[in-house]
Amino acid sequence: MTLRAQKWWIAGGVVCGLLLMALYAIVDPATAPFPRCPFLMLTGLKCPGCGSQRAVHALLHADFAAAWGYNALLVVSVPVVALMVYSQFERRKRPRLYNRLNSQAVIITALVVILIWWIARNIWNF
Amino acid sequence: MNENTTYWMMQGGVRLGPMSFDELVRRIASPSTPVWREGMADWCAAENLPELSGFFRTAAPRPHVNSIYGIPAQPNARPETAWHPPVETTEEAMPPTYLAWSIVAMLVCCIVTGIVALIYSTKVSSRWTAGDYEGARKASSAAQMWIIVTVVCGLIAIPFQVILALL
Repeated sequence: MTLRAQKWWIAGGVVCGLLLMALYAIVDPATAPFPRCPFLMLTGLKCPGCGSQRAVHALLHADFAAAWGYNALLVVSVPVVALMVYSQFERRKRPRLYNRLNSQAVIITALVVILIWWIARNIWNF
Repeated sequence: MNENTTYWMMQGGVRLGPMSFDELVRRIASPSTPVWREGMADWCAAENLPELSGFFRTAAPRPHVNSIYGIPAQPNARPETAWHPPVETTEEAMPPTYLAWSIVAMLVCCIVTGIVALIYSTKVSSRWTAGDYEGARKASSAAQMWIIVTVVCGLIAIPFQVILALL
């Protein structure tokens, strides 16, 4: 991808992100006809992302306790993913940060945390 | 510069590193190869790195490369010790793991295929560490493909999910 095309993709992504944030800040997904999780509807089990929309709504209203209750993993992921995206763009200037964040240990940890979260929330129903 | 300083170099548009000074010397392909180490504001041509001065005593100095980086060319480069580039290795920078996007896809799209992307992300780094560079590249593109599959399925599903939510 050329640098120019890349910039357009980034600009588009930022605009979409801001529009989505505005949408989720204004509308409460708990009451509005927002997408429901297909995994939950098909299996009756929660997926790792269930509650994300309500959690984002709560986060945008600075209600961290409610967001934690809807999807704690999402609340934890926001700063982690932000750091990862930052390191992606700063790979040239901070190669060591990028290499650490993309090391085998970090990826395996992420996978294990998501799987444990997935199983645990269905056992203890949170 | 102490012996623990790590260096980076550009080769064929990819960044290699971190590597020790010895490794840098072993790998460097030409006097104009861009190199970087901690403490430097920007990349410079290998021949302009102070530690490497005297390393490139080639018959034809490259004044145009020097002038880009604002350092005057050395006028009296000795031609007798011609420098031979080492055999190029196949190693390059690790392909992207797409870890961040795998996590986002898992959390946002509610589609189980996101987990497949994440498993391929783990393969990128494990194969890379094991020296299977081709395998790492394949795993990287597989991770990218599964993230796209997850996002596209998620987008296609949205209208149906909304209808179901309205019922």
